[in-house]
Amino acid sequence: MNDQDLVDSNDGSDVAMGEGAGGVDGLDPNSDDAAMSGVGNDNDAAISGVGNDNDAEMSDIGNDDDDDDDGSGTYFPGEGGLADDDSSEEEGGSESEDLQKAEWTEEMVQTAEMAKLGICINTVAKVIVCLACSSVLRPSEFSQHLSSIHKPISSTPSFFEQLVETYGLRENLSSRPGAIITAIYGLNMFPGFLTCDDCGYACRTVNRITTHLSKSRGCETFSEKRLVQTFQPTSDRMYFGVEPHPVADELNDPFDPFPHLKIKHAPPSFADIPITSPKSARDANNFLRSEPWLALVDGKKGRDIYDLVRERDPDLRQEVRICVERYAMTAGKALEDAGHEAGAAMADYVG
Amino acid sequence: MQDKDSRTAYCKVGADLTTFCLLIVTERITEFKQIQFTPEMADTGQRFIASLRKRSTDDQDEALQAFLFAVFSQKRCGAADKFSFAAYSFLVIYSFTINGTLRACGYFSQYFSKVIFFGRLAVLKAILAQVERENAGFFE
Repeated sequence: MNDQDLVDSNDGSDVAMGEGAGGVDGLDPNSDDAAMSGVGNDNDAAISGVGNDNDAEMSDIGNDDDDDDDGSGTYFPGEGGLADDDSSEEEGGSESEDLQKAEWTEEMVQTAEMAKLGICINTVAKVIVCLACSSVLRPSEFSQHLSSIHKPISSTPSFFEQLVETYGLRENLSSRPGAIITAIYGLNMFPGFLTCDDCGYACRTVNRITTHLSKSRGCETFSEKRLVQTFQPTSDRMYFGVEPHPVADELNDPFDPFPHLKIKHAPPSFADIPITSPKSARDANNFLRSEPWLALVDGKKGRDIYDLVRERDPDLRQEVRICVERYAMTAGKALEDAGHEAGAAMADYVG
Repeated sequence: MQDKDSRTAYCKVGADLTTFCLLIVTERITEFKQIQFTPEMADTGQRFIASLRKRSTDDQDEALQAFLFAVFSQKRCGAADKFSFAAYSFLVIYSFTINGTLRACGYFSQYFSKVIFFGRLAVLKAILAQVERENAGFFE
């Protein structure tokens, strides 16, 4: 509808990627301002970009089938990672505990410079997330990734080297957190996996999860409906179970980040803004300009006007409506009859 | 008015118009200072409200006719006094969405047609009643 034009032009989706403006330059993770108030905010943190999946990605996942691991062991994303499942179980034990002590809550950082590049950093997982791709990439790959996939956005390798140094980012992405974590913001979430309730290990078949439970210490039960994520976007993917953020549950659609972004960043509704005369001639057409309509409603809110003319005293309105309907029918009929009589009289007169 | 959908749409706007004007003349809507009402509007409005309590359809029809006639004969809808004209002000206000944006011109035209329908109906019926009362034929 045309009347929604103004509303649409101010829709919150327009500012979906504008949150970076709230960040600050620099990479100091200890700075109060460095913790991004938009994307990096806890409230937004669980919003994952599964809704952005394309078919290719999903079919790719289906073919992957976790061939990279045999389902044993509790994996842990320590620096240097692990590709070898057997070795991981022993090495991962203590590190996994450390990591769990560090609390796997969302610790997202996005400085203004990161916002320009469309990335954010999970300081606990120590990964960089490409928000446009909803995936994690190695720091050493990011410069090339931006220039080739997201051209004209670009950055220098030295920038990412600085990020690695500042945040201790991991280079090896073939790993798992070792626990059920809150979903990492910006990273795709996938359904249809079986996940270990204790260590977060995820696979697609009952045989694999059974094997995992039998071989792993402390792993006893698994879940069928939990969503999963993976650090590795292409080959050697290791999926781990995640829990969507509670905010996402409230909105009944954990896959769609836009409702959250709208709530957080959308300007106030037009319904709550007092009507004012347009500042620019381009904001009103000739008809509006020639009519002093706005003087009638100046300073009033749309919601108030709507309530006044459509919702005020609904009981009276209901009674009035019955009368109006009857009036319209009887008066219309009377005038119609009068018209016939007049027509007949006119015919006699002319004849 | 034979078509049910048209009847529903027209009567909805008619009921909103009547209710709005009733609330104006009883000063229960005071937010629009520009809108003036005549003593005739106030009298017929009170009479219509009283007739609603009586539950007499004849009374209600007559009172509604008188009230609508008073609303539409409030004054000539000239350019200078447009916004003191209750029906016109209603038409403008009614064209605003809940968001405070103005509906497209097509909507305004539709509301205008519906509002003016009741104006014509009231005026024509008043003329017809006067003719009958004076027992004067159109074509004597």
